[in-house]
Amino acid sequence: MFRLSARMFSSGRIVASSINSSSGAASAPAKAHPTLAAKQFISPDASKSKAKILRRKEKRLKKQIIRDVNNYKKQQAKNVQFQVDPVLGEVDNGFMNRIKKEVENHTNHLAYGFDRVEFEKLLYGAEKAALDKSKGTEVLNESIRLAEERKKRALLTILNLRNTNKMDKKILAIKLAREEFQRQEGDTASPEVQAAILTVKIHFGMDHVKESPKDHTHTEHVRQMVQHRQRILKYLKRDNPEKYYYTIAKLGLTDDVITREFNMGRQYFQDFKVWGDKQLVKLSDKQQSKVNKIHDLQKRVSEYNDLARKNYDILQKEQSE
Amino acid sequence: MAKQNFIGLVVSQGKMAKTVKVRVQRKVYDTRIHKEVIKRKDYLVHDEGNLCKEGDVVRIESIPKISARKAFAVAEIKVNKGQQFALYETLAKEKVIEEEKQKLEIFIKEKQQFESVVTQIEDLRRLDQIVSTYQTQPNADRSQLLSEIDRIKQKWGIQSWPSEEPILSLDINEKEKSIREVNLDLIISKIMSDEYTDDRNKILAASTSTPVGELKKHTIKNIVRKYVLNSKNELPFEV
Repeated sequence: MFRLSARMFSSGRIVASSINSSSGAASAPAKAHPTLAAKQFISPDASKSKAKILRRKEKRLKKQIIRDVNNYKKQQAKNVQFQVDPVLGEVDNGFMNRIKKEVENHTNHLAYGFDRVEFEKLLYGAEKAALDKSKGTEVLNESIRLAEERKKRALLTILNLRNTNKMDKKILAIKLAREEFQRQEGDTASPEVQAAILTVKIHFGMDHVKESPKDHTHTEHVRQMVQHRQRILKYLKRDNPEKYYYTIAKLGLTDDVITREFNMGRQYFQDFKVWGDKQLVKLSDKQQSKVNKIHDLQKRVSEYNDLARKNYDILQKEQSE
Repeated sequence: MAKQNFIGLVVSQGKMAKTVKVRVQRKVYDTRIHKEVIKRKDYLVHDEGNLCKEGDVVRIESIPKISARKAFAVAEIKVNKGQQFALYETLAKEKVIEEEKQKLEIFIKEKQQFESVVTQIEDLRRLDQIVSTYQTQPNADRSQLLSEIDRIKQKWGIQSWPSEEPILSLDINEKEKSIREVNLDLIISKIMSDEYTDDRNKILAASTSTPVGELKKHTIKNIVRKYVLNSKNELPFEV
């Protein structure tokens, strides 16, 4: 049974996120202990027996609340969620956002590794050479200029990043990532560079995984890259912790994503909704009932918290009066 | 009697107030296998001030029992690895935020550089046009053309037009600076030939202690290559 629960929550899924968010926002202040939810307000004109019943009810409820809250705490301690997506990292990561923008930036970059500035200079040189060669009249020069202009436009169309393939864009992205992390010029293999390159590859790979869920071979490759990155970063933590924390901060990862066990399996795809709200891991009746139990527990605890806060407010008012 | 002392690793922190979990390892002789085996025990340890971080190595000392499971307190932090890691983490986050700002500036600067090159090329084109009209059309407004020529020349620091000086620097031209780099294969093959055996042996003797006879051909080639690429070294012949 223990193994089952361990597998069920292996990729740090968020159990009933909707409930979590509603209770998280309206969680009771520190002073309002959840046991306050058991508070029974006995009216002064209530009969003796009635008061006794209510007091006993309060005692019973208090016990129940303490038990539930503790059980819920235990559950939470057992299933600690990952702080960020273990594959893609933070949602708004500056480094990856910048790389993605650069790859789509067709004014500054050209396809197949050509430099836009050099391109402009070279074409100007070519035009000038053609003009020098002809040394003709104004009309002829004008026609040469027009021809060169047409050539330039054609080249710009061919070399536009919009018209290139994914592989070429990936190469550009890898080059940019390498240049950001390299220790010195020409450094291609230090752990942080390897991790950065793998991150770029994983991001490109996940785009394809999202588009084609049935390409199992490709998914497997991405999974391997995620594991590889984890291994490299683990080494970097041993070797140079300062650089390690810098690298993971820049790549939008966290320490727990690297040090904890993770496998990019079906559970991950389901929990992080890679292919929408699809159930990919089938649970047996027993497992399902266990999940439902935890759901109910969570719901109850959030209800206790709400009620406790209300009772707390009432008590505060009574005290002030 | 001295107080009971252990050295252990902090494995859990921040879950209980003023308490950390410390793992202590010790060797116990197992009589069944006649071998020392490592045994571990976790202690809940009092940490007044919440100083310890996960990963620290600490010395713990026995104290009068203060709760059901707490009978030890942290005496000293021996290796503050965990604290250092926590510090690195916070520093790294600040550094990354700082760098993101710098990157934005660099991006804007590169964009401006690109635009300036484009305007320079446009200006040069205009200059060409003006020069040609100046030469071919005698009835054009000459003073205006001349003033425009002067303006463009001043803007980009051009002495004469058309000029022999390079005005736009190209990456391709920069690479041609080193003659050795361009003719590297030729030079190496020349030194590797039998004609220059003595010179080659001198180069090898200067760089390695292993005798020349034991060196493999590719190793020799690599050493020669390194030698040639360093412009301070003299070559046995003129390039």
